[in-house]
Amino acid sequence: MNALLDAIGAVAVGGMILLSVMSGMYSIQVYSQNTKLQSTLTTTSEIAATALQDRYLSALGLMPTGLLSSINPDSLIVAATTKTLQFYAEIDGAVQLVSIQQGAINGAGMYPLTVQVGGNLEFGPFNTSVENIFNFFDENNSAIAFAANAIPPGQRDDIRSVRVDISFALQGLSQLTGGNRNLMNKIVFWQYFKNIYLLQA
Amino acid sequence: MGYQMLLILLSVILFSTVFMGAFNGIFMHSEIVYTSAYRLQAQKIADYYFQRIDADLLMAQTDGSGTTTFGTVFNTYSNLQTSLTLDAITYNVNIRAIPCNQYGGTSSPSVNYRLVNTTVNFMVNSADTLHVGTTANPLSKVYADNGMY
Repeated sequence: MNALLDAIGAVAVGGMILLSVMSGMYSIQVYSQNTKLQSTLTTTSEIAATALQDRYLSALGLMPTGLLSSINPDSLIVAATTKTLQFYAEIDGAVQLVSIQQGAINGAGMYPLTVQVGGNLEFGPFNTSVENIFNFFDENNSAIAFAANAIPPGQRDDIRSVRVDISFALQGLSQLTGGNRNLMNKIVFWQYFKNIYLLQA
Repeated sequence: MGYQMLLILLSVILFSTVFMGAFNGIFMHSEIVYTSAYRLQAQKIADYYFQRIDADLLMAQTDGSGTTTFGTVFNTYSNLQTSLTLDAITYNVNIRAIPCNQYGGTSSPSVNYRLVNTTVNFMVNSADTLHVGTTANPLSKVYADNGMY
């Protein structure tokens, strides 16, 4: 009888130890996986933000000299909403319509961010978790008010800079539920449109 | 029986230390990853102020009034201390604009050049203060008066 009690006790104690070990292993797996994904997300955010600034937004107002007389500086920005910025700029040696756009919510609950140049998808889609990414400012650094989530056409030529708030997201693991949870990396950056300053001079 | 229990206790202690070591390593790695995201944000804030100075200079050059000059633009930034709060994190920004030569050297400065040094510090979770740029090693940019006024 004593031997049976010893065996039951050993199984109980051993089982608890095994459960603790497995639980610890699971936690380590979740943390390490999420940390790895967060690292990827941070790197992706930096690459995307830098590309948006250096390749696209900084080109706003950049025009070949021969076209300067035929382009109205006031009509370079075609659309400026909380989710879309469309403008003409010289990209890869040609004047093209650049469209930076946050799309409608998808099945994963994300708003895909894309950049189209001349109607062709060139960058993205990147999953973003928060809607409305653009805010526009005039030459006095005052925010230009939106009307129905868009800058009215008559005020688009007042735009001199933009603030972009992007929450990049990636699906990670949830330790509590064992399912998925969104990992986020919010980044805020600003871009002054220096070419517009020069064109408006 | 006592000897067996001792062995079990020793094994539990051994595994605990292994787990604690693994957890500690992962938490440290995790903290480095998360703080790097905040440091990236701090760099973007510094970049914002550098761009803003550029824009102020362009404004001064293009408004045609002649009232704002290269020198007066930098009056604002000669010793600016400001802060910006994003997602409950307050980033403290310190900007100093100093006359310099064309290489950014301050030993024989010219009125036509300004060295702008920027440092950003912030606190995450009320714990450590993190720095992007320090007084000794700031984020720097040299601005030149191109005479367009």
